[in-house]
Amino acid sequence: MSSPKKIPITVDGKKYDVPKNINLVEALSSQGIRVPTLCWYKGMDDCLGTCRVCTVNVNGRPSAACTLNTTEEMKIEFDTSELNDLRKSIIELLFVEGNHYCPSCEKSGDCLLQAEAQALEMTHSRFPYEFNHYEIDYSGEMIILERNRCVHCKRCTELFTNDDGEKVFSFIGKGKDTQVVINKETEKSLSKHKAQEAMDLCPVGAILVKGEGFKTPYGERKFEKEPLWIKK
Amino acid sequence: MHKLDLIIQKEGNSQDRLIPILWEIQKDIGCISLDTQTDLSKKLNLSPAEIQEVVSFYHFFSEEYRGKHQIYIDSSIIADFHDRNQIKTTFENELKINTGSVTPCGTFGLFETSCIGMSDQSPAVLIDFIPVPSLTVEKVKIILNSLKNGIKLEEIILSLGLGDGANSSNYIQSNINNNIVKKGHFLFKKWSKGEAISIASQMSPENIIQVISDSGLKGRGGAGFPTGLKWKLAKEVPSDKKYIVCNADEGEPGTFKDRVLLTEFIGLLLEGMIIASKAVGASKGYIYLRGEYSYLKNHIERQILDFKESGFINSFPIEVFLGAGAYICGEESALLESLEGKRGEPRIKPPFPVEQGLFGCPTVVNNVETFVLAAQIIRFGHESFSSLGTESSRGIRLLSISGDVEKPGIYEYEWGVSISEILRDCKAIEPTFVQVGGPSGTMISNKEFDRKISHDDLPTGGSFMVFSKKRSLFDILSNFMDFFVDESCGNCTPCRAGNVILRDLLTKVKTGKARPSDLNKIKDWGNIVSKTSRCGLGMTSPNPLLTSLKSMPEYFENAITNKDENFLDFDIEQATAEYKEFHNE
Amino acid sequence: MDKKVISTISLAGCFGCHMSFLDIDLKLLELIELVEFNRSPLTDIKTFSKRIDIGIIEGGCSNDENVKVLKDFRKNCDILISLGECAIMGGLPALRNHLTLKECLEEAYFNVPTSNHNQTIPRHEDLPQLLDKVYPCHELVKIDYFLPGCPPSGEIIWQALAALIKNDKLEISKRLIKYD
Repeated sequence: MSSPKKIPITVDGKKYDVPKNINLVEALSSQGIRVPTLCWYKGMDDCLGTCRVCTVNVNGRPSAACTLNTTEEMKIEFDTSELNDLRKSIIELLFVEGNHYCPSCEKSGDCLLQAEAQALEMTHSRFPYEFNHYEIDYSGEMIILERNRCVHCKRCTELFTNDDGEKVFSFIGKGKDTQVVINKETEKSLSKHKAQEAMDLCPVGAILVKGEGFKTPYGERKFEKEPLWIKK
Repeated sequence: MHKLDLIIQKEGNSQDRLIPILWEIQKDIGCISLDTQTDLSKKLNLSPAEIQEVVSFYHFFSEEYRGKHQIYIDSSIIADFHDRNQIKTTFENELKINTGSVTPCGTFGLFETSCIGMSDQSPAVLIDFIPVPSLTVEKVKIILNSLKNGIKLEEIILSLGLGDGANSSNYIQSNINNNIVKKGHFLFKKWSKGEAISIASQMSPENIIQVISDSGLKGRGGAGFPTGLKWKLAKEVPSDKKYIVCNADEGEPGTFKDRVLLTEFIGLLLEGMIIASKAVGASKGYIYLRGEYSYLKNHIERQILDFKESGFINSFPIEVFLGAGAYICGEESALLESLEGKRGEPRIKPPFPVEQGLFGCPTVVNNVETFVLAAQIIRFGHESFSSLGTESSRGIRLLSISGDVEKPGIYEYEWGVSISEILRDCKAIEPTFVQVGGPSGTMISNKEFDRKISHDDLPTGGSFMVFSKKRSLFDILSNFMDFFVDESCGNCTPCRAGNVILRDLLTKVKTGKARPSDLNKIKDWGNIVSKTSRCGLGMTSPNPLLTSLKSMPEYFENAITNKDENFLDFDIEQATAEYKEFHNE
Repeated sequence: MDKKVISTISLAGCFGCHMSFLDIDLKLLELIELVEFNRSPLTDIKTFSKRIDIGIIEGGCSNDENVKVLKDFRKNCDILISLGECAIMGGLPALRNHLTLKECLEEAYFNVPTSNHNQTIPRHEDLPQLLDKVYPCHELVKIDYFLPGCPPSGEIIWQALAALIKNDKLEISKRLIKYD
């Protein structure tokens, strides 16, 4: 099998050869450049482009890296103080929009928002905390929806289905009032395994499986063992 | 439910018919309750949640009952400055309810909505989705009393006196006036039905595209993408099915020129669309008409029928599709999502609509004015257009002028006209600020009135709002920020959360609580939202704040009285009031 | 070199951050050579007796007393640090922010199983008045540095103090940043 065609791109003034027409985040990652992401993860088919944490400059214009594929002679700016600050500011926005009480969260230590915040060296949010009120939905059979922690990434609403291929989560409302809701009918039929899958898909602690959580001891949780900022 | 079956029988049961179906239910029953949604979901083979996703997205759809007569008050800044509050209070007093609620008997519901495209005849309301402009306290009382006495809205409108031009025709019958103040020499050349189409029928698609390209026509929605190139790109994508979509979702506050074009130039618009369909090879056309203009639907459909009878559109059916109250649907990819019966959230680009648009097929989305101009260009040749305007901005531009002027209305100008000339023409009253291009455009001060309307100085989608010296800059900016917070679709972080933060920061300045460092925050935070947002809404929503801070820093500096950065304003009395109240103190 | 003067306080916090301060272990001996403590729960000194170089705040503002103390710290300290999640964003006490005070107080005094069924909620002029919600410190006064964590580790506290004592720029290692 022949290897895919490689094309030259420039990142922060350095030249790299990367496969043509592959996801930009993935291309950069293959060159050892880790772009922060929340809604995107390796291996997904279509990007969601919702969180904007992966903003880079492409040919001089800010764009979400996850929404682009590599093209020839792409000129990318990534590691500049302005861009690092832009990406960090989005994480900070999420911290004030929701109510992220890490000390009491089941997902702490396994939470992508938290891990990216750490990697971007967030000590606090520059924006005023809003303390918005969000209802927690305990009515599911298997799943608790903790909306205070939701980052509106749409992973669950766009990518998750039950065994019959039916949607379990939906996005309702508009603007700041958008929220995820559970489809009671399809949620009922979830196996424990499937419910766990939903919890794992959620980058934060918004989707919880009843009775699960706080399983891994402090110090051994995912991002404690492998912080995002450690170069692999 | 028998009614639902009838509606579905009429509209069809595929997802792309969802919004027309929901419209019928909303108008018929006054709400789309969760039970109705469940019933509907079974009939459409969707999950109830999928219906709820759509219902909860659009302003004019509601799960709760909105009353037999649904009244929406225009909340634009222009209306604010034309005694909107007095009108609102009159409605509230007469109906004995607060805005945002329904009378106990369920006869009237009173709500607010973003600009309804009547800034030249403010204040205005929508009553049962029919606009009633130029309201006075007296008129409100007459209308409500008549409705209470069971008189039909159509009769009330007749008694108030019909508007000019086609507004008084059988198919519109509205109180609205066109207010065409300045007729230029291009757009207003007399229309002769079918002329543009017959010229185009002698041309090859390549030829048509060449003429449009040579004319230098750029999209009139605001972004200014070259129209010829857009058509060319769509033509080059091989596909059995292609679409032409007219964006008649004129949502930018202060704009109303498309309303007038749809009223008076609908024939030219259809010709422009038909010509585009020939150039691109499209088989179907849609006019995405904003819900606020639903009163024009019959009129447009009548013209379509007329064109059909004249044999102009044999193989290119054109359908009028009604939006349901969402500014974001003016963004072309959000509009396409909406046409497909979904939430109007902007798509990720690329792919662009010319490659993968409606139902995945190549689609040209152009503004109303763009199609009208294209038809005129075909009639009079590309030079008739390209010889007008400036190097970067060819041809003419319609402006919707409103605010503190003696002659609000529609003005045709060549690009390159200066602000001061426009202000003279419309007889502006002590002009102090002008918002060019609506809330997403540029705010300029009276020191900059020598600037020009053009793509390289002051680009505009047509909105031109003039504010006199008695207007407060911060009132204007607050209205705009409220608008963006309400209209953000919620899809991406910076626009959803960032606009709220920017609004709060503005409130801080407005209420005298800001410190000097807050002005830097406006710049920094505005920059964050505009650089990282997913679509044009978030990319431009900080504009009014950023441009007014740049052009009028003194207004902001004067609003800051306390320069002590160490101690921020904190009202301990207010913060402990709840506690004292709890203890009955 | 003159010894730097340090003051600390716990507002609406649990004293966990102060415990963590003590977790710098043997470095305490080093620290005591470099600084002197003024007003602080560690010294039990209740008022400032001189200008303070570094003030450390644990906890957010939950009542009027917290507000008074925080402002007093800002007045008397050159550098003010928010130590821990409560000072930075309200922390766990801020979980009450989406409830009304009535709901909070009735839950705490009436509805819990350990209630004495006295059916009274104490109110006295000497008792601080609760604020409508818990506020992060930097919404009231300017805060110069933020050390996150619940609690922040002894190490991050030491790293920060070591830098500030030497008048160095405060740079915190990524590995020390955490929020729980």
